[in-house]
Amino acid sequence: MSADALLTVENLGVGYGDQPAVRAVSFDIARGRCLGVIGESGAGKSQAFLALLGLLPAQARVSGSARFDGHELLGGGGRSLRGRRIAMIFQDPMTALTPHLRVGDQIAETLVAHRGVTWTAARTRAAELLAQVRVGDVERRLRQYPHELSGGMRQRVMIAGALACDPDLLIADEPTTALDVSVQAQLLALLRQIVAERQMSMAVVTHDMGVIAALADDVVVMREGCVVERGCVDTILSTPRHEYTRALLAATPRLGTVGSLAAASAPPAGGELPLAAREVVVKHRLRGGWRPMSLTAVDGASLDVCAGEAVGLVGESGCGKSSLARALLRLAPVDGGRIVWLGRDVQTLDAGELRPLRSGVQIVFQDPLASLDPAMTVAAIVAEPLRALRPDLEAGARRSLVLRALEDVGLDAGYAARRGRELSGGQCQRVALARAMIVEPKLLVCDEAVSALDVSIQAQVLELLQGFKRRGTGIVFVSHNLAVVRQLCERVLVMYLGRIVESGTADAVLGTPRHPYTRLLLDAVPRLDPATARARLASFALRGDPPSAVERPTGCAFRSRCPHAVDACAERVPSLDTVENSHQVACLRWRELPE
Amino acid sequence: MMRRVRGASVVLGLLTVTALAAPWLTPWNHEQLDWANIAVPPQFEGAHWLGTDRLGRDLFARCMQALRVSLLIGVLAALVSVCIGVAWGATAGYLGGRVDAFMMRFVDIIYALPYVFIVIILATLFERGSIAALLLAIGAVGWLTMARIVRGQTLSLRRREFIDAAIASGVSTPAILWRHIVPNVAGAVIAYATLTIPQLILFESFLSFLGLGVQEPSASLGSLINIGAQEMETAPWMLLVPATLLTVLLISFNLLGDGLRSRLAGDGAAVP
Repeated sequence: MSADALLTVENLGVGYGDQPAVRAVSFDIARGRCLGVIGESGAGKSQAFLALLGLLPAQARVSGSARFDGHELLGGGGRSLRGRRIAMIFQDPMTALTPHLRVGDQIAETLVAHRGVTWTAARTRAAELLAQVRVGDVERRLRQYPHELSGGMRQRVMIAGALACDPDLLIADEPTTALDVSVQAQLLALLRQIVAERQMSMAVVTHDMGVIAALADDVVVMREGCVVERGCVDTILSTPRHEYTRALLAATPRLGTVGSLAAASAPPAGGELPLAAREVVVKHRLRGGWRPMSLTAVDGASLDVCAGEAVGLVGESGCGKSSLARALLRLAPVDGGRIVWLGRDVQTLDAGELRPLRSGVQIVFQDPLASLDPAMTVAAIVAEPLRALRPDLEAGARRSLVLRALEDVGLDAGYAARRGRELSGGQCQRVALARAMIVEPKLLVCDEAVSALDVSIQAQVLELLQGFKRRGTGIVFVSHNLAVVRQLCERVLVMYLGRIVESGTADAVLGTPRHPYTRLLLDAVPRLDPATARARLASFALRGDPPSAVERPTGCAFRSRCPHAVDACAERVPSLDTVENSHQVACLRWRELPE
Repeated sequence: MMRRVRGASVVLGLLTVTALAAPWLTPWNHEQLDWANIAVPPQFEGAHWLGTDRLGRDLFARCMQALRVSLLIGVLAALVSVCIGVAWGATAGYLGGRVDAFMMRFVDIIYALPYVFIVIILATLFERGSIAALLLAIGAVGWLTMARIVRGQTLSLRRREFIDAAIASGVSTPAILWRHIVPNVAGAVIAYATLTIPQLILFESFLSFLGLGVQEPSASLGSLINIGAQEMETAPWMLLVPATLLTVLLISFNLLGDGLRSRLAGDGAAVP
């Protein structure tokens, strides 16, 4: 225990009934240092910090001691210090901000409450704080409501609010989990800078090794309510001693390890699948307002898939990758171009002719629990495609197929009678996979199918997908996580505001990217080596949030954020140009840019 | 909360069983006249436990017969409103767009009509006092709110990924409605239906009180209260007995519905 510890936690325990959530956890946070707490869901990491601030529900039992600069936090002491000397920011900035309060008043409120200053003085201070968290156009932002801001901007507002009273300790609970990688990188850089400038202490709670590498000085690894390993960040990330830490690190996908799950060579010899998406346009109609508007989510994208091949569809949120994937199954309306399956335009199929499409193309969604009907058992859920697509099947035969499909995804027959809410996220996603694979589709669409899962579970699901691939199923893998895509996919399409800006083999696109957007996305991927992670953050160049598809910039849509944009970019929409072989890029200046 | 639900269920169970078993419990039936005991207060003599009316009919027998009618109309009308309301609301919410707009504007229009007026017209068109006409009249207004509730729930279910998963699995639209939407709105529907029953019973009593409902010699709680009100000064039991019965019945249904709502649909759910 160091002498200059700001916060010393000893034997902290949290329990509900006779279920312990945190067991005898001890750690300390030194002045001016950042403690990273890492663990998967259910590790008790958030519970521990909520307990310190007295934010747990009344039925929680808290034991142990936590001394903050001479004050005992547990037993009500944390309440008087929170907001004043200890500030906390949460994962979801939308639910943590009050919807009907303007941003400026929201920050000023803390100052008025804790510092007793006048509202005028507090508003002036709020403006300063927003400037400090690198929010541009402060005067306008102060008058906006939370729903008018993007996720990244909201999180900045949260940080500004947390800094309002010059706290000594900032607790960040999954601060960047809900954000796009590009925005995540900006916020991590911001947090580093602020903590260094103010010489604050920080505790960052996360499931993401990349965040730890970027921010933490010391690390505590938690599992099932216990600390399993602690140490300085370099040691933990380079030479972890506990097997759980090693397993976590091994399961974390990284860009460096070239396609461990992807086939070594480019397109496998499985032949093309009978799918062709040509110049697809997807528009979403927006309701409300005086006149109906529509948003072009996908603007002329084309896609082919080979048997046994995984095609990654990557980009920030709102780039249209999910819309394109859903259009393949006719789950999103196609307003232009053609999607052909087995020689038929899927838009023209009537209900009776849909069967070949339904049994040939299946989908797995992001939210594991929401994709299972809460009123149905696992067996009924998995049997559903069989009931609909093979009505001739007898009950007995159907049941044995269901059990085999469950077994395929590693669930034994005991799960058949359960319901979604009795399963963990990973198990739910396995059920969704079993449902999709039971009709042996030729093409599986995964819409962020592993994004909501813990890394170790994510690795298992990726392994399953790899197995399906080996058996010849083509996969369209929609993800914002380039490291995961790198692991699984042979080919990659990068989308920006509805257009494909770069495509080609994973090696080419992610190894020697040509489009400035792809390069910046790759730069934003968190690295696991602390030195590299920090150096990258310091030089990270992608500024701002993705523009909305409603107000798309003219010409090249990316020019508003592109470090290489010139006047010509505003005049012409770049088309896909071939770099070599199948590697294509849509940028007017790709030849001039350094490799 | 659970104690109240249990209490209400017990009371409702007892009332139902007594109403059904009444013919075997008392020597009197609701049409029989006892010339020896005209307008007597509650007494054991002659087995007139709740007294008799001006014609010497046993009030217990009449009340139990009225209770059967009230329960029958309440439950059947609620069932009718559940069937129409769920089908209408789920279809409108699921299909959305123009179909939804059309179906829900229809509901709005019916809502806007003065329902007492409709019921009076229906009641006079049919033979006076026919239970079928009453059911039709009450059912015609009962399903509107149900349809709105189910539509609201369906709209939020429609956005959940399991519905997309079902579409992608090739499940047909009617099957999605039946297998995925209906079971998932069932909680809210059951809770709201339980709250509808007392409203419908009250509505029927109101119609009978006006003389539009059940006709002599049959009675419903409403018509008994109507008769009782006229004899209030000379034979107060004739008002007090059916009025107490109606109050207990309505309170029990309301407590049960309220309890079910917070259990099945969650507190603050979209059930009025």
